Amino acid sequence: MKHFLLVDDSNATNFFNKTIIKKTECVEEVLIAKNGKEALDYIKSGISPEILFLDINMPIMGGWEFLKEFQKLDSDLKKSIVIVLMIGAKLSEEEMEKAKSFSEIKEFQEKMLTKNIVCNLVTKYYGNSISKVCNELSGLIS
Amino acid sequence: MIYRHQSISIIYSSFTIIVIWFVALFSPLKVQAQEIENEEVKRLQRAIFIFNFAQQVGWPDIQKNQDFKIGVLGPDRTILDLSTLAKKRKIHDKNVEIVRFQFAKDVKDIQLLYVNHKYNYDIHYILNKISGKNILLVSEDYNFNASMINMVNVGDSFEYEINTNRIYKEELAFTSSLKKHAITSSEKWKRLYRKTEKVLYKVQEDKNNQDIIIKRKENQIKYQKNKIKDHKKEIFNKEGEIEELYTQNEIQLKKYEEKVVIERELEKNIQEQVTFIKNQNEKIVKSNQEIKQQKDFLIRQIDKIKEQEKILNKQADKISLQKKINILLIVLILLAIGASFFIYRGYVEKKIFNKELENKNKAIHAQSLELEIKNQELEQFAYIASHDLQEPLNTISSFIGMLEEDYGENFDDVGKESMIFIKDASIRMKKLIDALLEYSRLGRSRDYQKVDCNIILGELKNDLKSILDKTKAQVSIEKLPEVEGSEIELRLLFQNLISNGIKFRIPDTIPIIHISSTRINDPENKSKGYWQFMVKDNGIGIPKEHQERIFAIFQRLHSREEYEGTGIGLAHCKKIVEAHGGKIWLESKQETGSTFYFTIPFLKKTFSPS
Repeated sequence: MKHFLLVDDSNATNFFNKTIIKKTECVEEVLIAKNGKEALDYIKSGISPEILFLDINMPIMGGWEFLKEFQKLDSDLKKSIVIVLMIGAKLSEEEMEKAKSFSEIKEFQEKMLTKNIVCNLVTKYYGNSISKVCNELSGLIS
Repeated sequence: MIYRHQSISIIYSSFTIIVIWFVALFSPLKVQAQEIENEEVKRLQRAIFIFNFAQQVGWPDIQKNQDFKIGVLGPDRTILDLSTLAKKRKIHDKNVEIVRFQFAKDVKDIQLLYVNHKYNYDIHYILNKISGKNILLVSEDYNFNASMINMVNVGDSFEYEINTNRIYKEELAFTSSLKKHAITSSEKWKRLYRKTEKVLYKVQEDKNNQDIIIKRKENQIKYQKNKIKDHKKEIFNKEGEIEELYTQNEIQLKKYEEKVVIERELEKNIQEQVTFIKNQNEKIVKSNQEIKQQKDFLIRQIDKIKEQEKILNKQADKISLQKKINILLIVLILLAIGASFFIYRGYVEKKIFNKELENKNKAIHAQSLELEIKNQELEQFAYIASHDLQEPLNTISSFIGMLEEDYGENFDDVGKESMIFIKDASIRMKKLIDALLEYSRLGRSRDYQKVDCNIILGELKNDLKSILDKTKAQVSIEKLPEVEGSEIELRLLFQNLISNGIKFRIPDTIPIIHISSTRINDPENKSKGYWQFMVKDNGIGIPKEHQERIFAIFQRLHSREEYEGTGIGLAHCKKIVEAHGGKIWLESKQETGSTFYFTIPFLKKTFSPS
C-alpha cells in the first residue's frame, strides 16, 4: 500500500485522520489535498491512492464536483481507487440520492476516523495481514 | 172717383205700349251690342299690330331721338287707340308719342306713319312725300305691295304683307320674324280671300236672319197695337156701367155707414168686456199653471230628496267600510314599518358584528401566519445550529480520545481528572445537540396514520426491558384506543413519560406506573371529542410552583448529579401532543407522585377503541 489521499479543507480533521492512519501502519504515505482540485491534480500527475477520503463541503471544488470531474478521467488514472465519502453529521435525503448516483463512492464514514475503521477498510478491500497493528487490533477484538 | 178710374186706364194703356216697344226693340239691340264689342277688340289689335311692327323694325339713328314718334294721317280714331297703348308700352325702350297730320306733305320728324285707306290718301303721293325721311309707312287696306307694311282686315283680325324693297330704301332694318309672318305669296292671298269670303257669306246670312226676325217683330207689334185698340174700346164701355152703379151705391152706402157706426160702438163695448174676461181667464190659467208647476217642482224635489237620502245612506255605508279598511291598512303599514325597522337594525348590527368578526379573524390569521413563520424560522435555526455544532464537537471528542490514548498515562492526577471533565462535558454537549436536533425535527412530520396505542406500548415494554428489569418497575396498561398520528412521535411521547416515572422515583422504592385512557365527547357534536390519556407514577412529584416550567426546553429541577438527563424530555412531550392537536398537563404533589394527562382528538372517521 503506497498512498492514501485525504481530501478535506479542515486542518484539524486532516491532522487527526493522518495521525490515526499512520498509527495503523498500513500505508507508506498519507497525502493531503485541501479541495477537489488539488486531489484531481494529484491523480492527474500519476499518483493513484488506494483509498481516497472525500469531504463534501470544500472551497474551490467541492466533493460532488470532484466526483463529476473524476468520472471523466481515463480509466488508467482512476485504476481501482476506493472512494470513501466523509460525513459530518447526517446526510439529508437530497444528499443521499446524490451519493447513490455515483458508483465510485464505495463507503460512507464519519469524519473522524478511528484505527478500527481504517483497519476494517483496508482488510475489506486489500485482504488480511497487511499491517501488524491491524492484526493486533483484530486479535484484540476477537 | 171717376178721375181715379180714368188715370188708371191711361197708365195701363201707356204701359202696354212700352212693353210692346221694348219687346220689339230688344232682339236687334242684342246683335248690335255684339258688333260693338268686336269692333273694340279689333281697334286694340290694330294698335298692338302697329306697336309690334315698330318693335321689329330698326331705325339707323334711333338712339339720338328722345321719344319714338308715330304719326297718324287723317281724322283717324286710331290715334286714340295708339295714345292709350302708348301709356302702357314703350318702343325700343322709348316713350311713344302720337302725332296727327292732316296732309301728307306735312309729315316729318316721326319714325312711323299710319294711314287707313278709308280716308282716301293716295299711297304713291304719301310715299313720295316721306321718301328719305327714314319713316316706316304702315297702311291699312291698300292694294297689294303698294305700301311698306300693309295691314289687311281678315274677319275679326288682321293679316299684313310687307314690301321689303321699299323698307330697305328708307334704310330701315327688320327682323326675320316680321317677314316670316307676313303674307307673301298669291296662294296665301287666295286662302285669305276664301276665308274672308266665308266670313262675308256668314255675315250676310246673319244679316238676312236678322232682317227676317225684325219683320216678324214688326208684325207682332202691329198685332199688339190692334189688341190695345180693342182693350181701349172695352174700357170705355165699362166706365159707363161703373158710373151708373156708383150713384145707386152712394145712397145705400150712407145708410149703411150709420148702422155701422152704431154697431161698431156696441161691438167695441162687447169686445172690451170680452177682452177683460179673457184677461181674467188668462190670469187664472196662468196662476193655475204656476201652481201646477210648483206642485210638480215640489214632487220632483221630494223625489230628489228621497234619492239623495238613498245615496247618502249608501255613501255612509261606504265611508264606514272605507274607515275600517283605512284603519286596517294603517295598522298593517305600521306593523310592516316596525318589522322592517327591526330587520334593518338587526341587519346593520349583524353587518357590524360580521365586519368586526372578519377583522378579528383577519388579525388572528395574520398573527397565526406570523407565528408559523417564526416557529419555522426557530426550528430551522435550531436544526442548522445543532447540525453545525456537531462537527467541531466531534473533532474535539476525537482529539480527546487520541490524547487520552496516547498520553493518558503520562498525565498527573490533575491532568487525568481534567481529561475526565472535558470528556464528560463533550459527551453531554453531544447529547444536548442530539436532543436539540431531535426537538427541531419533532412535529415536522405530517404523515399521520392510524396508530394502535396498545401495540406501541407492547413494543416499548420490550425496548425498555433492561431498565424495567433493573428497577423492577411495574407498568400496568389498560386497554388503549386507536388514534391518528405519527407512530414514531407517539412512541417517543410514551417512552419519555414512562422513563420519567422510572427516573424520578423515590429512592429505594419500586416505581409503579399506570397508563389508562378516557373517552371524552364534545357535548355539542358526538362525532367530535378526544381521548384523554393518563400516565401516573409514584415518583418524587413536582412542586406546584415548578409545574409550568417543566415543559420548557432544557429545564431541570434537579442537579445532574441527582438525576441525569438533558431536561428536554417533557419539552418533547409537549411539542408532540400539541402537534397532534391536544394538550398536556399534570397533577402532582411532592412525595406522592405525578399524574401526566394528555389529549389526542378522535380519529377523523372512526372513534371506537377497537
